[in-house]
Amino acid sequence: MFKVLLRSRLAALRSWLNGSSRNKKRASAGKTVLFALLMLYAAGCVGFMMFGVFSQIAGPFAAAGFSWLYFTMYGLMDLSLMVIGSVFMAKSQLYEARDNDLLMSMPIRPSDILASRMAMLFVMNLGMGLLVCLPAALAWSISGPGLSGAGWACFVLLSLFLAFLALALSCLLGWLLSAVTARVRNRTMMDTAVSLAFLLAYFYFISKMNTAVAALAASGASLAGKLGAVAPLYWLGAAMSDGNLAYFAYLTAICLVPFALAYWLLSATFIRTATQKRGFAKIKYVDRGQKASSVNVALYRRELARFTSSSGYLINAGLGAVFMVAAAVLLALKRGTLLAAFSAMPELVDYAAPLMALAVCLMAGMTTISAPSVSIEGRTLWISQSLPVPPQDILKAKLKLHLSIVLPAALVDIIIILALFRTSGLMLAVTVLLPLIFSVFAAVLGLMANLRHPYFDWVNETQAVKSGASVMIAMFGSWGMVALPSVLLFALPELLTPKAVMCIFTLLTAVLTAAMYRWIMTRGAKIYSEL
Amino acid sequence: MLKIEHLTKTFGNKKAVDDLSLHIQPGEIYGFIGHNGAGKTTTIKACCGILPFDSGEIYVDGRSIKTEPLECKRILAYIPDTPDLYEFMSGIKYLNFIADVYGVTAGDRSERIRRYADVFALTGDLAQPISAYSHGMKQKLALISAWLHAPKLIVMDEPFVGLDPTASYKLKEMMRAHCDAGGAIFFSTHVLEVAEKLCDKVAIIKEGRLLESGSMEEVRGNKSLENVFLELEGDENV
Repeated sequence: MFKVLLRSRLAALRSWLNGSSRNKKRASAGKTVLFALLMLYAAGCVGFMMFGVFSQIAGPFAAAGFSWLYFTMYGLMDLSLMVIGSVFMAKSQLYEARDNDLLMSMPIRPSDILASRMAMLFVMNLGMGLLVCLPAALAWSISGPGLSGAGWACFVLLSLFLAFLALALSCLLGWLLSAVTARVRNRTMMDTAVSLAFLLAYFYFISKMNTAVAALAASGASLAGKLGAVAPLYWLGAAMSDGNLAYFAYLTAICLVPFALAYWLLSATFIRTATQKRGFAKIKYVDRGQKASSVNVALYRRELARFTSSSGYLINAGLGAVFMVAAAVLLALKRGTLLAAFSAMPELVDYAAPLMALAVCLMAGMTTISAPSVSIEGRTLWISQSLPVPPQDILKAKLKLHLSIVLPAALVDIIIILALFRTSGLMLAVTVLLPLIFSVFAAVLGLMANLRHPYFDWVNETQAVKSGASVMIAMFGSWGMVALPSVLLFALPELLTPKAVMCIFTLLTAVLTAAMYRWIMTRGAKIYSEL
Repeated sequence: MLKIEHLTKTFGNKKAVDDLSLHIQPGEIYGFIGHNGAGKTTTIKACCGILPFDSGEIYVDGRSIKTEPLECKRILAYIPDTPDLYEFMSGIKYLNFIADVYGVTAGDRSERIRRYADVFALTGDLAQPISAYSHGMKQKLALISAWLHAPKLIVMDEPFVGLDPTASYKLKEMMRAHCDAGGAIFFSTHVLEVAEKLCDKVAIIKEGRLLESGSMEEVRGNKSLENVFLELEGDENV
């Protein structure tokens, strides 16, 4: 039975990779290859970033005799990425999946349902883990002394076991989140609050772990025997760097025992958790007459209601805007430190404001509200398609929602940047215009990607928001775009001044945005009406 | 009111609808009957401008759904076979959204929501989120939203599924009143007794092709609609 369930999960994954099943068309081989290349590009971007980080620390750590610390940091980074990346997916996939009722009504053991879902989460964890694992191994081979045979074996096996530990943690945290939010009336607000609290707590924990790692580094490996609670961090690094089999055995137990316990606990409580009903009181309707609104207002309100009703959508797609506001506050608070940093680099002082504007663009690229906005219509798409409204108006409403969230945040950032850094002329125009234009760029890129890659086979909204190819294209496409000025400066240092690069980049962003918007209003609208 | 001319729609190599022609006049309740997968839903979706088709034409009140889709949609209402509505809205917010899109005035919508919600005994639940509704309640809400903008043509896919006996009775009354006032209704159903009692005309479809159509008397003759249907479908096991 487990194999049958696993096959159904894989079929859903295949359907996602082949494109929408709604229009009964399969993606051509060319499109599949293109999609695979895009995914590879996205993975490459993250991998390249990781490689940069590991390359910087591999040599100095090895020279200082702290090889184990390199691998401890790798393990922590690997574990963090896997847990953060899968905890909300675990919550929605395991306990809030649309097909839970159907599967539980069949003669299937709950443990099999759970195992098939956990298997898919495990595969997802492994995929994310590889984005850290491969760059770490490559950087150590190039910039560090390399590993012995036993070291490589420990590295590979412990990386695999860490994925089990991450799975256990994300499933338990997902279970906790689901249990806490199950009986609350305003579930969205509760979900959002709990999720944010979890993220904050998690980041706090990770920062404490970093402090522990720093303490380890300061104390030296000789203290490893007296390390108490943080000893596993040393074992983790030493098992990989030295191929220490005793430490490997400890770590294997630390990774696999919690996984076994989590599986046992969750399978014992699966039916109860998955069937928990929200017991809120009925809201009494009082007829106070109705008010009319224009079509455009109605369409915008619909998009807003959808966005604010789903904590998964709110958190995953709107986090960039939150970061933008937080960054503005941080900029204002850390003004002195930042100004001192820039004055230490006189060649950059003139470009401080546009550089900060680029940072705003990076955060605007993290806001992906428009990217799943078509997919999330799911089974209710018939309503939009049967309404006497041009598809262009519906698509505009999706863009308006995105922009109404991200543009005010971008404006706040721009005001703070202008207050902090003196700039004038063209660079002033770039500082003001670039974040605004780029916000529109990210919005239209996301919507265009979603029209090209709609995903309707989702089991819950979080899956629609997180798993869709359009979200990845929007986010990594935006980040790739932000990297363009550096690429131009690096490739053509003789030909282009930083000022020219920023102007060209702003202009290029505007032109691309206009082209994509035109595509959405013509070809995109046709695609939408025929989905 | 609704004219389907030589409609053909294929999915891959399969012809879901094959050269289908029907004509629904104002004042008619037109039943659309066929086994599962016969092409009823495909035809209905094509009539509402939701599904593009390969060849043929569909006219709603004299306007082509291909060239003037918005004008056609303005005067028709569609109810699908499963009432998948916006679960993130309350019932009243959904009705107001539909009324806004169709440009129903505040006064008209207040009166109609009151009237139809009372008919389906849904008034007390209008403030509830749709996610808390049962299947039948969602179907009632979909029906109210269809009648809300006073369309000329109502196209429904299995409208009686999930309704309780009282709601089914009320719906039949509403359908008759709508057509008596000059509107038209085109709906699919598997409940042959309902079709027999309610419809002015009926069409029977099999594997995308029209087997029989006409007034209930013409199609049925001296037999029951069920017998005619089974004979036409060629079910030898019955």
